[in-house]
Amino acid sequence: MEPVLELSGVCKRYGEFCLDHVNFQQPKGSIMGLVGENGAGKSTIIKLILNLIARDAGEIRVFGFPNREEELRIKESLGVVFDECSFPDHCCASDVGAILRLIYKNWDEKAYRLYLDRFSLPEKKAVKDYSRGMKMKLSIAAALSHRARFLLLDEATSGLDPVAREEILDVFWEFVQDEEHSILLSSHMIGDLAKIADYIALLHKGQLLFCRRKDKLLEEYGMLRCGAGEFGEVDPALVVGSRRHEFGVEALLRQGKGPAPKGMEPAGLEEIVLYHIKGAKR
Amino acid sequence: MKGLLLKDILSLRRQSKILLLLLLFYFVFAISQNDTGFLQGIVALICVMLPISSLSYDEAVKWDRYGLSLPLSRKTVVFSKYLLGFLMDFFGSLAALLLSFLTISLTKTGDAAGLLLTSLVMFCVGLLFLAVIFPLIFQFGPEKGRLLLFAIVLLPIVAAFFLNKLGIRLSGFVWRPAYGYLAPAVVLALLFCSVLISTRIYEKKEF
Repeated sequence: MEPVLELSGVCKRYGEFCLDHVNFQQPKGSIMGLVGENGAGKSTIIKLILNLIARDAGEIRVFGFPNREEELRIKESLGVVFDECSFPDHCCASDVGAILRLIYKNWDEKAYRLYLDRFSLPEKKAVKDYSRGMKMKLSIAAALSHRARFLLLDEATSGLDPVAREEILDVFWEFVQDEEHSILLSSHMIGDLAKIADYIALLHKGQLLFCRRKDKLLEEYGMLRCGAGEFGEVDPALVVGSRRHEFGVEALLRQGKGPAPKGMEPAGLEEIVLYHIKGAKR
Repeated sequence: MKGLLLKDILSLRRQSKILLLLLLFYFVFAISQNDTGFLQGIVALICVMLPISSLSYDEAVKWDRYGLSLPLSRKTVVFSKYLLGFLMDFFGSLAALLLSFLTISLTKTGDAAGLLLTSLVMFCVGLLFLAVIFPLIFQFGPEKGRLLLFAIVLLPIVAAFFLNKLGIRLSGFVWRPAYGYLAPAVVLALLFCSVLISTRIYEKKEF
């Protein structure tokens, strides 16, 4: 499996925050979700990939090329969307097209018009008069109209209403139907990632807690809700994180070799993520 | 590069009306007062303020991190701002010069060679201004950069004022028109150094 993105031993320190030896690979053709609390290091990773900030150690490869040495070549084939739309306020959608046509070698005006049409974005309205949802859609249209093979999305779906989110997730899903296309998206909306991501990378305070296939994660973990007495009999090595309340205990368990404890239910992605963070804090 | 210039010009578009009005105002002023000084002096300086506004707009919409995610090197981003400044200064000075020629031909006074020299000097002052302010803005951001510029411009004026009060005069320096023709070479050399400094600052910046 050829990786589209490889991070090995990547470190970055900013005052108190430290991204600590992050290693992971994303296979070509996949969607990977970067999850974590605010300040966990999601945006830092995206900025390091884009060389917007300088790493202290490690190596990053995109499409197999080192990200600093082959920066411009990589960026020709990258589509990037940040949490805010960065086009000048007084420009309209066709101005944005005119600007990007001069910047990307592979700019595809026809594809751009089709996306504007599909997202119902008026061509002549100034960006400053767009709603937040429209701004995000314009950024996404721009990111998809130069034959990009890899999309980097930093909180691109946050702050959108559910209908717009659904519409945008559909576009992402269509994009990866081509095996050469991949997406890395950071989000704290775990629900969105549960829908479309193939891989989940969880960050906590600059540490990568795991980077796994989503279906494996769902198979591997289960939720146990039981009384305190029963919980005492569970092998503590299997407990990822737990929460005690008045009526008993809720815990995320790893599947052991033996039979699963009675009453164990499948865990959702949200529970897997939350209890890992809870476990890491302990 | 062309894309960046287009982006800046489009985002400055809304100021073009004000600019044309100012040009018209100073043109009328020049004819009525029979003096093209303001027309030539102020218009070029207003034009070089525009690239600074464009840097403020960029900051407001976080353009830099997006711009650097496109296939553009940091050198290109810096150079495009200098080019924008140069073009604004050039066309501003040229417009002022042409209107000044028109003024003297209408009022039938003044001398054309003098106007040319004044415009050349103002064009160079504009470039000098850019050479000083760009590295400051790239280092400190548009807001602080602007304040620092005021400080830098005011300092010699205040110093000259106090020197004058104290009765100290700079002697031995006599202005000759020939210096005006030398100015472009000096300013271009300064501008070149300024580009190098700004590029170094920008290469190290994190977004």
